[in-house]
Amino acid sequence: MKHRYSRTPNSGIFFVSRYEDVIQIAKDHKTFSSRMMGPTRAMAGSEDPEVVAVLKSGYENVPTMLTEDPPNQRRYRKFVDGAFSPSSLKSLEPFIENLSNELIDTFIDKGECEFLSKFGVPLPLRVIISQLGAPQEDLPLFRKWTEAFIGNLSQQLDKEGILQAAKDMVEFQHYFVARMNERRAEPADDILSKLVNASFDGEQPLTDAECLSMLSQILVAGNETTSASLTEGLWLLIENPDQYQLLKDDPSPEMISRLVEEVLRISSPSSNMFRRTTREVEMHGVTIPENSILFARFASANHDDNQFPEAAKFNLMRDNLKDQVAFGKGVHHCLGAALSRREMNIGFKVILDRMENFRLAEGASDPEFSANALLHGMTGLDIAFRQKVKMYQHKKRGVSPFFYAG
Amino acid sequence: MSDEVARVATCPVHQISPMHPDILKSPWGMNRRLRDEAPVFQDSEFRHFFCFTL
Repeated sequence: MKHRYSRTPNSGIFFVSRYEDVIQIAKDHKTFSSRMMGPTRAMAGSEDPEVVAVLKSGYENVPTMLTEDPPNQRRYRKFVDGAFSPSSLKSLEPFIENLSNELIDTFIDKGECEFLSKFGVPLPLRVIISQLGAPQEDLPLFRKWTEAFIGNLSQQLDKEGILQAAKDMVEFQHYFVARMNERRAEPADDILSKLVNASFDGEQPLTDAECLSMLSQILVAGNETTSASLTEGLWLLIENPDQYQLLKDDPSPEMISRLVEEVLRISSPSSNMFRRTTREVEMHGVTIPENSILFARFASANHDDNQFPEAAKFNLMRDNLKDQVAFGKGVHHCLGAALSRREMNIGFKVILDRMENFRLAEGASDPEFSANALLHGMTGLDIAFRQKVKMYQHKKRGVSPFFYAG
Repeated sequence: MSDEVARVATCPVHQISPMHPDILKSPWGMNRRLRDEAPVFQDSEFRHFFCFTL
């Protein structure tokens, strides 16, 4: 696996924080490139020989969707767009609802739980595992790999952490290359089969390295951001009883959709996205040299009072909820945005149907957030609640997502 | 509130360190200052962006 160690010419990193500027960057991929290779430095290996050795045992990292610009970026997206289309996602709804209920079954009798690990993480992770056609019993592996990718993005790992992340990511690669070979021999109805067997307009099929790059992006984007928003959303309901009351008074799909959009705006789990300037740019009197790395700060944009009056306030009744940019904007608008919205809409509906009177568990401290340069989410959330509906009808349907193999 | 988060509330804007771990955990105060005072902020200390995947 090659890895990238990008060094800005002489300028450090530029942080762009206002809504209108972030939108400008997101919409202008010709000036603000997502491709981090090229003029920035791309080296095979790092200064640490142990990390080099581990990475060399894996596959070359190549730019694909999030790390590529049009037209190549569009080529990669069309391989997986179908899997995240409205019709594909519609068929997932019963699975998501049943899974939400089964997860709640595991803790509802106790009247309390650590919500992130019991619901926020497993709901989207189990969905993406099924989408990828992997067995559900491999969930611990997928969690480990997700944490490795996130740790890598955090820019906060020490030498030992970087080494472990490299090992875990190479393990991810070998796991999926084996599964890709299986799907070439025997295709199934899953994203993996579509990736390895698809070819458009006579183009060459994707290489293993291209598939692995896309799979890593689908894995992280497909679960971590939703986990973070589900968890922070519950915290926001605890912290804002007036808004929770609005939902209790009117738990309609429209109100739950409002909840989801406002939670996404406030939580903004993909807080920053990097770009590289392809030419010198001047913004607000600051000259940004060509080949500079900048952060388009989507979380800051979502808290811009000029776009969202009293932006720090959690307010389900905002009249411009759809202006939030938690999933980005422009050509890199999140591939999994529709899936994430479905998971959150269904997940919150089931939560509100079955539990009430949410509060911090006795003795629990206010939740803390992890340090990460690109992603933002809580490290945990200990809650207590009152049970409304003990058992769910999914048992009658005979569908058990825990054993669903996709 | 950590010492760094408290410092960012009052220090000169050019002394803000957006990549400080405490600020990454609790970025809201810094975000407001950057939007108001330095909408394009140059962090010349943070020169390396390490990414061997994605």
